[in-house]
Amino acid sequence: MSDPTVETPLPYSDVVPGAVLAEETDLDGSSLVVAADKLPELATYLRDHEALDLLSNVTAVDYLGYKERTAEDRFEVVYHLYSTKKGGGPTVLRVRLPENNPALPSLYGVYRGADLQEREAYDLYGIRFLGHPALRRILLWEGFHGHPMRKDWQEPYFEAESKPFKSRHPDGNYAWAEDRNPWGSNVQYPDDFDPMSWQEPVSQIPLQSHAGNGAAGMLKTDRLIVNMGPQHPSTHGVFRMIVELEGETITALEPEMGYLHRNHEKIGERNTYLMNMPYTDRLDYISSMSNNLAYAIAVEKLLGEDYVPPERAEYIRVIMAELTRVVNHLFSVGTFLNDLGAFFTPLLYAVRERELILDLFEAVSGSRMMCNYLRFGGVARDLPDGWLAQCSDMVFNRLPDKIEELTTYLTGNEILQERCIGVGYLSAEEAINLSCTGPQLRGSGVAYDIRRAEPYSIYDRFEFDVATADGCDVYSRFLVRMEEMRQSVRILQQAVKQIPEGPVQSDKGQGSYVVRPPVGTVYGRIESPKGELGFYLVSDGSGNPFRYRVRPPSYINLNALGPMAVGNKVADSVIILGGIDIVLGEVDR
Amino acid sequence: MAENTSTTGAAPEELSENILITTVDSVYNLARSYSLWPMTFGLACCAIEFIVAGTARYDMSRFGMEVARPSPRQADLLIISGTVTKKMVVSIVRLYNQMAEPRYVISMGACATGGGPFKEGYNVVSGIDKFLPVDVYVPGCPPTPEALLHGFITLHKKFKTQSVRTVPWYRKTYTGETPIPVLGPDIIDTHPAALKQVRDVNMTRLMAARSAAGPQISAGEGQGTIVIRNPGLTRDLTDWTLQTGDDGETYHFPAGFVLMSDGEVRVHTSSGATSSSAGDIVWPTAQAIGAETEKVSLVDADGNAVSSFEYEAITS
Repeated sequence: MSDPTVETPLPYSDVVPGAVLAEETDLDGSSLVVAADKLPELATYLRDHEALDLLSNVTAVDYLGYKERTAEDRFEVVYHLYSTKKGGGPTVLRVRLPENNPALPSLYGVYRGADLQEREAYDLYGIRFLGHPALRRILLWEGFHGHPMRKDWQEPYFEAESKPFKSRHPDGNYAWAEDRNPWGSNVQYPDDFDPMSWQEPVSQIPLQSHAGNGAAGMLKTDRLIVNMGPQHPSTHGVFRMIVELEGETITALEPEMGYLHRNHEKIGERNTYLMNMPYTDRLDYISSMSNNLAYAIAVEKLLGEDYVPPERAEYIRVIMAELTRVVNHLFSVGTFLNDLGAFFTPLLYAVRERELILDLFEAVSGSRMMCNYLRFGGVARDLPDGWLAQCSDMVFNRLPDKIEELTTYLTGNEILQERCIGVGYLSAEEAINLSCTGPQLRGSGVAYDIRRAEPYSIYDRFEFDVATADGCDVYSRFLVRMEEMRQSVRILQQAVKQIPEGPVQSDKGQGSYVVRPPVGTVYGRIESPKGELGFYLVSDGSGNPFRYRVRPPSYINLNALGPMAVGNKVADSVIILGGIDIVLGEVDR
Repeated sequence: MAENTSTTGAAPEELSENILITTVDSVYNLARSYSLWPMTFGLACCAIEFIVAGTARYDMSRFGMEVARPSPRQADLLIISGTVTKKMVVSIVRLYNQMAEPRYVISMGACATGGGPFKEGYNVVSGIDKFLPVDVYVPGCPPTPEALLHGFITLHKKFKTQSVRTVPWYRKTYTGETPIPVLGPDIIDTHPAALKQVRDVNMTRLMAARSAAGPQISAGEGQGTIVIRNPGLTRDLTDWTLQTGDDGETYHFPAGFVLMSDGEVRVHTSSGATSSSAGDIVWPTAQAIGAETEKVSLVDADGNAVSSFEYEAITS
């Protein structure tokens, strides 16, 4: 290799001296180890001079007990930076932090999109981001004891570090987890906690103010705070918004979530790799096949060449992923119209088509919603007889007509346009800076689609256009979704025609239940219907992922909710939220 | 009903064809069954199947149930459609308390029934029935809309077993109020029994921690004084000793010497030491301890050093 006397200088050592400490090689590319104090400086440089404008993913990892890690570098924060202009793979930055004081400068000032992800890392790992304006718990509540994603934190009904657990039916009798771990032996309360004398802390949630879209400033009224949710018919689940009003105009909006935080990542670290597949279904439960695909792609990156899916499986995956996109956008458009006040009628028509696609899913996987159909190295089973004929009838005859029908009735509708055009403005620069992806980013005119920017599976073979609209408002996002449905149908038509015969599982993948990937880290991502869905996995060589991180698009897109809503009327906050298209299973995980 | 009129003769002739005699309960239950208004309330994946149950293919309006009410005040059926988390259960119980009687709860899906696949999670309640009375459980993950419809029919069957004379909600003393749990370091159920359990668990742990803690010794005020503190449980110090490091002087505690929990005792050392207050211990040593660098240890009956400290040489 290179002459040992002449050291290759570390990257960026000339522009930000001392920032990069080392360059490492992972299973899916290289990454830079960065000194914590130089991180914002380096990130600013990368953003301004290397066009790495999208901070896609912020992952915290607790390396307690991992090979060769000590208390000095127990924690690690990993940043994945992408370029919306150049496309391609990520630049990965790693910051290593000691056990006793895990703190590093926040990137909030460089990428506003770091906001929610840094708060999540603080909540679950106790890593402090200095300079973050509101470093509070986000998924759990203030007062919760401990940081649950740390490796040494155990849940109340903790059974064992990793699955498969011992038999739950010893001698044929079912043993409840509660009986084996009696309540109380494992609940982690602070020592001085006495429930009889304890009072629930009363907290006023401080609101972030956004210098925004020109809030009305003519007539001053009292500051009014309105709480919406978690039980509200238009928040698409158990989501809560705290809105500050001046008259009817929103002056600040604070999202509050975690009401469906069901510990996906903690459970994922206990599971074997394959056991996580059905859990991914329940992330974004409208589009389970896409979630399967993202996870399968990430794990296949870890597993290497033996698990490359055969041709037919790749086509089946693309067909399923694109059908899922149609399902998701149909449902999204339907509920969006619900929010606008067209109660249930458009949704009825949208759901009718969705049901027919769900029938296709049920035929291949046995389940309508939670398909659990993909496997590492392929899919679980081949398509049943006659399925392709049914599918082609759907994508050639029925769907194009029905999408046009929806377009006819909705796109030109005057009320819809009146309510949507100019509402929830988000400029392209802001959208990128806030880490938005998916239809929300493309609705601001940025043609960034991972199927094009960094093609995965076999997407490089299909002809399709990246749907964009440059109105930067709710209406543009609606238009992008309608157009994406058409483009998905276009991909489907090509895939259904081209799909070859052959096996649907790689030889190694056949019946492999417990996989033990080599030691390393990967990040696999796809363009899910909601945006960039990624999985960051750390393998320690065992059958369970050491770290299992989901990069949830709807959660990160919520970064933009506050900035978009400020300046609009309170009634519009509902459709701005509807325009983001969140699913709480993915937001809260 | 013709035979009825013929036997009683109560109804006028012209109305005899138009009168239906039945029990109050039948009418009451029939009316309630087919005007059951569910609350527009979705938690997770199951909520999607609940929405779909209302669309054309499954059409739950066939059962008079399509009028979903967003306000708990107007709803009489709460469908727990998804994973109940600790953060959310507080609101769910509040919503339930706001509903008017008669009210019913359907636990839809595996998560609401028993935690489901997420049961082991730290923020997941393993079943809403830990907090609310549930009328019908619908299995599945998620249950299909057909399964949910079957749950509705099962609930209707339950109505038919109820009588207006015996149902609890017309009684004067009945409130139906369910204690609202609070979010502490973890979720805290405010049922008195559950609170007592939390306290018992905490007391047990506290006692365990205290019994593990042994007496501690440290330098007291004034030269030659040692303080023995007991943060743990009351201990019998028979056969325990105090030892100095170098010259190996040893003090044996008198038999039956007991150090109370949270108690402390002072030990005065030196050749002619005296006690200024009752209860203090006098340890006649050759020289007052602490005059030079010296280590003092408290040794238990088995010869293990429980606690020790070292004097810095004091320059007088």
